[in-house]
Amino acid sequence: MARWLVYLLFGLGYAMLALGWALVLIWPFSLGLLCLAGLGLFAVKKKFHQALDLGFALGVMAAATGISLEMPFPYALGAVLSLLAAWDIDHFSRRLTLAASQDDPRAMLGRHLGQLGLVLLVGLAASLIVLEIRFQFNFELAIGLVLLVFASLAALINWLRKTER
Amino acid sequence: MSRSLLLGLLLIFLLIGGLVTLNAFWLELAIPLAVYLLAGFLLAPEKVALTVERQISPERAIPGEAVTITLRITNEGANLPQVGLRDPLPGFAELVDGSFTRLLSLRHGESLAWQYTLRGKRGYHLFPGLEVSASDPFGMVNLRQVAPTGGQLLVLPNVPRVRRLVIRPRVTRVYAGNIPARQGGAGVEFFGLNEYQPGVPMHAVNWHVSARHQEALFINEYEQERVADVGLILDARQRANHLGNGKSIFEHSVLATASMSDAFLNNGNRVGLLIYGLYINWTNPGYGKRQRENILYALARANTAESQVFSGMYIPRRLFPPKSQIVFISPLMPDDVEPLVALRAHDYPIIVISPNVVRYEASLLPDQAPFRQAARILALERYITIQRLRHAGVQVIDWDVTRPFEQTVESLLSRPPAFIRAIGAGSR
Repeated sequence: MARWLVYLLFGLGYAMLALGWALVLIWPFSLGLLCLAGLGLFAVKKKFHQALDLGFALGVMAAATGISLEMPFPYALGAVLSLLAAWDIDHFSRRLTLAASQDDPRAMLGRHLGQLGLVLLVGLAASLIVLEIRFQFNFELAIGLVLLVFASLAALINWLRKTER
Repeated sequence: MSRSLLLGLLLIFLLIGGLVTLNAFWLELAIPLAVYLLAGFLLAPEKVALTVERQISPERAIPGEAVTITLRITNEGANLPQVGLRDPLPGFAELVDGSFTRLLSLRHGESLAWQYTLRGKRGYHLFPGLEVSASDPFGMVNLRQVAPTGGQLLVLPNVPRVRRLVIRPRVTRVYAGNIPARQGGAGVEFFGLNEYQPGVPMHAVNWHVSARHQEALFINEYEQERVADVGLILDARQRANHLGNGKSIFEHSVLATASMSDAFLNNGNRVGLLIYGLYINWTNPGYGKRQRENILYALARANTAESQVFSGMYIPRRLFPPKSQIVFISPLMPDDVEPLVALRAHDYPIIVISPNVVRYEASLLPDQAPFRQAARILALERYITIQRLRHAGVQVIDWDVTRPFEQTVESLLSRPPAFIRAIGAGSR
C-alpha cells in the first residue's frame, strides 16, 4: 500500500507542477516535468531511492521558479506538499521493512500517515495564514531577520548531522 | 545525502530565492518544509541507552538443528518513538521462525522479549551485538549504535561413526591401545618365541617347541598393542576445494576429518589436526573427549582460503612426531604428490582420503558430451595422481561422495593394506 501511495503522490505532485507550468504557457517545461515524473517513477520502482530525493528537490525548485513566473501559488504549494509526502512515505516504507509481523506494520503505517497528515496540515495552515498576514519591515530589520534565520537553520542542520553520527 | 541536509538545503534555497526575487511566495513555500523539519527535530530521540541480554539455546548445535535466540531488551534511556533493531544472522544460518529485525517504539523503562529461530550448516559465529537505529517518525535524526550482547553459536560438523580402523605406524606410544607395536609382550596376537625367564607363568610355555629342544624351555610371546600418534591434515585451500558456480567439496572433507578424528580418538590414540588454508591452523595433539571437542571446534571454524605464503602444499614436518601416522584429507591436486612423497620418504605412513572432486562436479553438470569429455580427462589426470601416490607407498582412499563415508572407509581401512599384509609387517 505504501508503495502505491508513493507513486500516487509523486505523480500527483509532478502533475500539479506540469499543470501550473502549462497555465503560464511554458509547454516545453511542462512536458519536461511530465517526462521527469515518469522517469522518477520508473527509477523508484527499480528501487533507485536517490531518484526520489532528486525528484523531490527538483520539484521544489520547479515550484519556486514557477511562482516567479506567475504560476498559481496553490499549484506550487500542492505540488510541494504532495512531493514531501511521497518523499516521507518512501523513507518510512523502507524503514518498515525492518518490522516483524508482531510489530503490526499496517498499524504502524496507519499511525505514521496520521502523523504525517497532521504535520502537513499544520504546514499548510501556517502557509495559508502567512499568505493572509503580511508584516511590513524596514530593510535593516528584514536583513537582520534573514540572517537570524540562516544562522539558526545552519546551526540546526549542523546539530542534526552531528547527532546522527 | 542525509534527509535533514537535503531539506535544509532546500529551505536555504527558498529563503535566498525569496530574498533575491523579493517574492514572498517563496518563503511561504518554505513553511511546510520548515514545519516538517521542526517536527522531526522536536520528536527526535535524545540518546539511546538499551541493555540487551542474549540467550542461545542450544549454543552448540548439529547441522540442521533449530537454534532459538532470545533477546531481552530494556530501554534505560528516554522514550524512543521509532527504533529499528537488527540482529545480524550468521552467514551459515537461515531463519526458520520469527524475524531478526524489529521496528517498534520503546518507552523509558519498557522491556521487550524477542525470539527467533534459525537453523544452520557447520560454522561458528560470535554475535557482535544488536544493531540499533533510533529516529524520529520522519527520519530527520537517526541515532545508530551497536548494543553489545554476548553469545556465540557453534554448529559442529556431522560425525559419521567409523567402527574399525586399522593403521600400522612404525612407532607407537607407551600406552596400551589396539595398534600392533611390533614388540613382544602382553597381547593377543602370537608374535614369536623366547627363552624361558624365571617369573614367567607356566601357561606361557610352548611345550611342543620345548620338547624338541632339551637344553631350554621356550615361551610364546605375543605382540604388544599400543596407541599411536596420528596427525590429521585437512586441505582447506580454495583452489583445491572450490568448483564452479560457488560449489565446494570442502564440507565433505570436513566430514571425513571429523569422522577420522573421532575414530582414532575412540581407539585411544593421540590425535592432532592441521588445517591448511589461509594460514596453518594447528590443534595440538591430545587424547580423549577433550581433544575431540578441540578438533570439532577447530573444524566448525574451518573455512577455505588461499595461502598467501605458500604457492603449493607445504607440510611442516616438525609438527608430527617421527614416523607417526599421517592422514591427509584433500580433493588432491597434481602438485600435491611431491610433498606427500617427501613425507613418505621420511618414513611417515600416510593415508590420503580424497573426496572425488571430478565425479562430484560432473554430477552437478548437465549430461552433455563436452562435459562428459572434460570429466573423463580430469578423471584420468586424477587417476594418474593417485597412482603416483600409491607407487610411493601412500595408501589412497578415493571417496565417491555419493556413498556414505563410513561405508567407504570401513571397507578399505578395516584391515591392513595389501602391501603390509604381503610383507607381513605389523601383523605377524
